[in-house]
Amino acid sequence: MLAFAAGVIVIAGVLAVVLSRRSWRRVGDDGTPVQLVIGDLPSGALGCQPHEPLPAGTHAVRIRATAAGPGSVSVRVELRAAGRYSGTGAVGAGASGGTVVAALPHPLAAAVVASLCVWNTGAAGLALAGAGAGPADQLTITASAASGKPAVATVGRVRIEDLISSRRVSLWPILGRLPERIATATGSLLAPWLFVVGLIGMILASAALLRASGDGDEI
Amino acid sequence: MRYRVDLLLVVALTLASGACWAGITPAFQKTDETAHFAYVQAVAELGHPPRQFVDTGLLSAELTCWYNGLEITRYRFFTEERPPWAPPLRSSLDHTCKGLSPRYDGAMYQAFQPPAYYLLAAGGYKLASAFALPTRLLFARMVSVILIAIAVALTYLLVLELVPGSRWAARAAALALALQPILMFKESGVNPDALDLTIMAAIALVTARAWRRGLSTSRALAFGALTGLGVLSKVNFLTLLPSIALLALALWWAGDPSQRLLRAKRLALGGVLALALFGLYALVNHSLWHRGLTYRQAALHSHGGGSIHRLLDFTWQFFLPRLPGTQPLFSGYLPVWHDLLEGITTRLGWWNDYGFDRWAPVLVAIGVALAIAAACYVWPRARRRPWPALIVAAAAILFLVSLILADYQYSLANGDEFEGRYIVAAMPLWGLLVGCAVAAARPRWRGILTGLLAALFLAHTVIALTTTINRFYL
Repeated sequence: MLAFAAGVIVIAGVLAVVLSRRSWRRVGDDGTPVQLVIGDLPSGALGCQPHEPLPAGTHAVRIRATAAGPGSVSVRVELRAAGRYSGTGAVGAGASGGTVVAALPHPLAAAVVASLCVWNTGAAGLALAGAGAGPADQLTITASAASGKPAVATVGRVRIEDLISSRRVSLWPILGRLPERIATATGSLLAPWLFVVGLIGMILASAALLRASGDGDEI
Repeated sequence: MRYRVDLLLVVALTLASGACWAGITPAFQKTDETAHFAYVQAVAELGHPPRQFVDTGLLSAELTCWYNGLEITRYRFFTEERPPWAPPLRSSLDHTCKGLSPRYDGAMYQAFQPPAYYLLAAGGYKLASAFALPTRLLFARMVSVILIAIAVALTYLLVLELVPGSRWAARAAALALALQPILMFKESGVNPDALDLTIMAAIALVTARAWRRGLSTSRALAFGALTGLGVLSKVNFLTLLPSIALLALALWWAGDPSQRLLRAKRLALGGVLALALFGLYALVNHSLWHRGLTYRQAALHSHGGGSIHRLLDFTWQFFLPRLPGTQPLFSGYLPVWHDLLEGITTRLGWWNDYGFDRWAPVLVAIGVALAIAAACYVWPRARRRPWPALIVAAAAILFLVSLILADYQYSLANGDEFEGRYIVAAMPLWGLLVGCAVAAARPRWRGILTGLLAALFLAHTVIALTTTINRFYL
């Protein structure tokens, strides 16, 4: 029993360390698969994607894009036709692992479907990754934010992931969201209960099995 | 009688572990779960197994509604993708899918399977008939979990029987199975493999008891009934029949030579019972359910091209690197490592599409080697008879050979499709090996060793759970 208890404490310690590690944390995504490069967003250009669904709690977006040449990478994003959430967020944190992260002006209190515009504020062009889409859903690119030139359509939509924060955060604030995510993915409110009760029961039953005496047995 | 408390705790542990895995896995993300659940729904809603054997890809209107609504195929196999998380979706689907027909007389590519498991799972489905379809799916999953709990309890008893008097060994065996995450992930889904495993654990126990205490008529009948039930559980059970025949032969041979005729008669009685069960199924299947009797998917029919030489080559390359001058039959991997060891110890998901890193199988291989070494040490020293354990080991090897033969047949038409989960029915042997490892220790160390192993198994489960949470929910 003591050996098991010591093991459980070690496991709990490792879990605490894992939960405290900071990373980008999602609240959702737009369901666009990463299949192809849908187009290049030149430096200074603005790309707008209509009908972008953003769940409540979104405070930043992660855009699937890689630098298409030398130079610094940075973006700003803007929500249009989203009522009080219109406006441009902070400068994004540069390309990393095929993604660029940029903050929205405010965290979204409720889910919205809006036009999401990405403004390439860096020196390097950006190759946008996503999937093909019909003309009404395609991302369109304006040569520069203030040029007034007509927009050019790309061949599809860029993949957008919605983040809880524009900074890397630990998993602790996410834990409370797990039951609701499990219930939605399984389609049943029973599922998170099964998970939690099962997890606790598993540890307790293991401990009880090891606590019972088994001495005095020889083979 | 103290072992009864142990048994209750073993059942509680496995139910808890299974519930955990049943709850955390998104709908229809266990292997072949959509097709198996469609079968369960057909049995529950139509009162008979599905009659449409051709895979039309169709499901009942209700199941289709949930399947599409939960976007199952959008994120299956795509590890970058996540299931839908927005809570309004669930209530929206509840509303949209309510009232749609749950009746469809087909089950995709699993409709040809025998019905025993599905009849049990349909009980869980009917119990939750007042709830929406995903809750019915969870109830059907929990039927599998109950079956696994029985299998683990039977394994506990098996180890008590084969390593007599050592309850620590039996506890370690139960912990090894109940906290084996790949087994629990797969068997907490809607899949007849759960019944296969349970029946095989029961056959192993009956064999061990018959060996130690004598082959009574009741044990011979139990042996036959379990074999008959196994044939009705899943087509994969057929690969276990050679091993079961070996066990029967061992039971006939063991013990007083003057009683062999009597034992042969009893075994024959068991055989008749097995055949009677199958005959009854064939009769009901034909006359009541008006359904074809087949144990093979049309797609599996071989296109020929087989030969003894090719079969031997296939078997060689399954275990060892191919010899110079021979044709490669596997695409640059060693199946015994890639499919068997990695498949059953490190991979999660529908088609093993996510799981542990590559370091994990190495650790598992070391663990298996240590357990086998301990078994080699313990069995010859066992106070009672070492033969039952050796017979079980031989039966397991025969099972593996049968699986390879089946895979060879399949490969002639479709290429190698061996999956680690096919050996799940032999998992009681893993429990037995772990039990032997504990029994090999000095008596005062057995409790400590079991505790350490339990912590190790729990860590394995926790890593698998966090990997699953990361895959679907982060």
